[in-house]
Amino acid sequence: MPKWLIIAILALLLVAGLSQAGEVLGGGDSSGGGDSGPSVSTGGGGGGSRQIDIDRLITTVKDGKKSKPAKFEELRTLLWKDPITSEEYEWPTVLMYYKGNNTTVSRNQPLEIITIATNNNPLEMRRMLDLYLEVKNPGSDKYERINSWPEKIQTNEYSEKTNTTLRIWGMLPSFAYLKNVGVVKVRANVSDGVNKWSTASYSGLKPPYYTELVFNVTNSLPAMSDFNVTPSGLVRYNDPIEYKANIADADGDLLNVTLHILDENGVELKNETLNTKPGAVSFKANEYGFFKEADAGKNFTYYYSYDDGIDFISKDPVDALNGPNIRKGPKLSVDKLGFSSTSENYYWWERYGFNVRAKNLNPEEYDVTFTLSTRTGNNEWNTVETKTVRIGPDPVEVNFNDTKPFQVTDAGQTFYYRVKYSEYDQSGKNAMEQTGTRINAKIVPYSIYSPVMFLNLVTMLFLILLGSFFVERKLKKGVESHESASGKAGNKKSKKQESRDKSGGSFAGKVLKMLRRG
Amino acid sequence: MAIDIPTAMNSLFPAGTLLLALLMIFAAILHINNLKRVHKLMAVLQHKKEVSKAIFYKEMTVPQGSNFTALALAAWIMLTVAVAYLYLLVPTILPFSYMDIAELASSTLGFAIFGLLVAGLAGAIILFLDKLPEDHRDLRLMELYSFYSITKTMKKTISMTVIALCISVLLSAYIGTIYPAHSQPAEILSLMLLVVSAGVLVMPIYKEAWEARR
Repeated sequence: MPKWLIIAILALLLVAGLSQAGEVLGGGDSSGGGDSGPSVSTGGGGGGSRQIDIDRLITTVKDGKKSKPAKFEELRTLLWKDPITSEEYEWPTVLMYYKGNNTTVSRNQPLEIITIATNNNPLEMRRMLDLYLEVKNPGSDKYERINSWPEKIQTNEYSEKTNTTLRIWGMLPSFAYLKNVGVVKVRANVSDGVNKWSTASYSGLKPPYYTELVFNVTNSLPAMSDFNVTPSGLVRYNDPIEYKANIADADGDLLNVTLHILDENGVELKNETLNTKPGAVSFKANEYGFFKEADAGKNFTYYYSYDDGIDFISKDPVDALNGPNIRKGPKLSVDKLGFSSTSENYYWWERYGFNVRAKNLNPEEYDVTFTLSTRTGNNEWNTVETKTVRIGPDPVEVNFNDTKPFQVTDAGQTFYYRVKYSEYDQSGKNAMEQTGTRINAKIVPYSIYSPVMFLNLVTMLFLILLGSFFVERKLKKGVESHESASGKAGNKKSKKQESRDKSGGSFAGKVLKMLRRG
Repeated sequence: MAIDIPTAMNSLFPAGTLLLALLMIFAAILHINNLKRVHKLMAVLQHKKEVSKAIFYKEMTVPQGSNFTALALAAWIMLTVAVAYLYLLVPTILPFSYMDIAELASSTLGFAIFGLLVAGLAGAIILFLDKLPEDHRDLRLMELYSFYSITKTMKKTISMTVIALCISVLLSAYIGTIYPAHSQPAEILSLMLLVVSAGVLVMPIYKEAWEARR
């Protein structure tokens, strides 16, 4: 066959092939959309093939991934392309990296665990690396994977100069999660899609590069201080008794603090546990119902035990502390709080009387202190009087007579009064309060007829007159008239003047002299 | 036509206050006007274009006697005190008052202290006016009466205003002692005494203006 014939046949075949390819790939015109991009034929044989564009194909595949996972997997298998394998491919070097020298760390100490990868392959030969961090905890004989999804190192993210890249494992900031302390080993598993290996497979490394990081994890013991029971001294069983202390833990763990209350024989009566962060610890006796009326007259001791989930301190302080010492006291019944006034006008300057009735519900007699306070509006309570009265089973009237509890600023306001007592009453309260009445708005406490008013006005008038005469005498505004007038009877007056001068030595004399001149 | 007494009483106090204010304002205007007129007249009589104010005041002033001047000064101070007692003692007229200083109002010498404070202030103003330059002697309150011819009867009447003003102060003090209660008759009577006293104190000015007009 001549050579030109072979070329002609090949040319025809090429034209036919291109024509077929045009149908398969489709053109802008045939798809009806000039800017719809390349199309893919989905049609079978025959002439009427239907075409869809590549966006629709992607959407269909995405839908298929969800609705038909099995088909999707099948498609993926079909489309899978093995990584480029070459005898020249060099396994990337992946190592653990740790900057610090001290590998003994406390549980809450912040860590920076780094994995460094070096890939000396040319870019086209590099493969994406999947990294998994693995940790072997104290007491465990196997490594546990920390990340469920692989940390991926892309082929293009290596430094151009050193061909290295790194991963800081932020998901392991410390070993705070550990429930036991001891040796912890950390390594990374690597996969390049074909090969799988571990950082532990290397040897002969020098710090700061490691095959695996080995930490000796320690726990900081919590410690309590500033033990205190308030109020101090003898208290009543229903006083607001509060056990206070401070607890510190360098790891910042959640702590279990237990208060143990012992009786006089050192026998534990009660204990309460508080789940708390490091800081102030407080147990309020009334909240937990530590003490009852029957505890009156008893002395108690206490200590704490606590743990941070790892270490347990069974008794702190070693010798139990004293407190509280509960005293005996009456069980008060208080009623009939009232007041009286010297008049029904309720002026602020009047004297007021207050009274309350009290008795002990128990047969003993006790000294009870009663404190009367008053206030008007939203002002602070003002203590008026305090008195101590012996209270027994028979009712006793506690009177605050002849008090002057109000000031002029209280005029026109409603007053309130309160009697506070040193023991608790039948309601568990230590005070009784009542609303009084509206204080008369009158401000001036004396009438126009009173000597006080007379004194005020006379004093004022006298001083004004005296001042006026004094000023005039100093300025001598009317003296020329006086002098001209005195010319006629000058001699007569001069004699009188002499006698006046004699009596003008004292202050009163000077005043009289000043007033007489005219 | 029936007179509504409460309404009439209510309008009496503002009317009296207005009368008092007008009385004092017109007195001040007339006083300055009187002196200006005489000043011009003096220039005409002396056939001069202008007579200096210093010479004019020297020629014009007639000292009225020490005791009268002292009593007149006391009357003017008392007038100020009476005005303060009437308008500033209780907050029924103005929003602020002596009663707002409750500690002072309730103290034994509160009224005297209040009156003396006002008197001191009035005295200070009078003394300040007295220090004005010679050209402004017309504004010196202590020399007010030295520009006018005042009869003995008038002097006595002016001196008697001290008593009337004392009664006015007393009535105002009564209103203060009964506060927050109210006494309209006392208020009006106090104001009337105040107006009458003020009228007497400025009477020589009005008299001079009236005579000049004739």
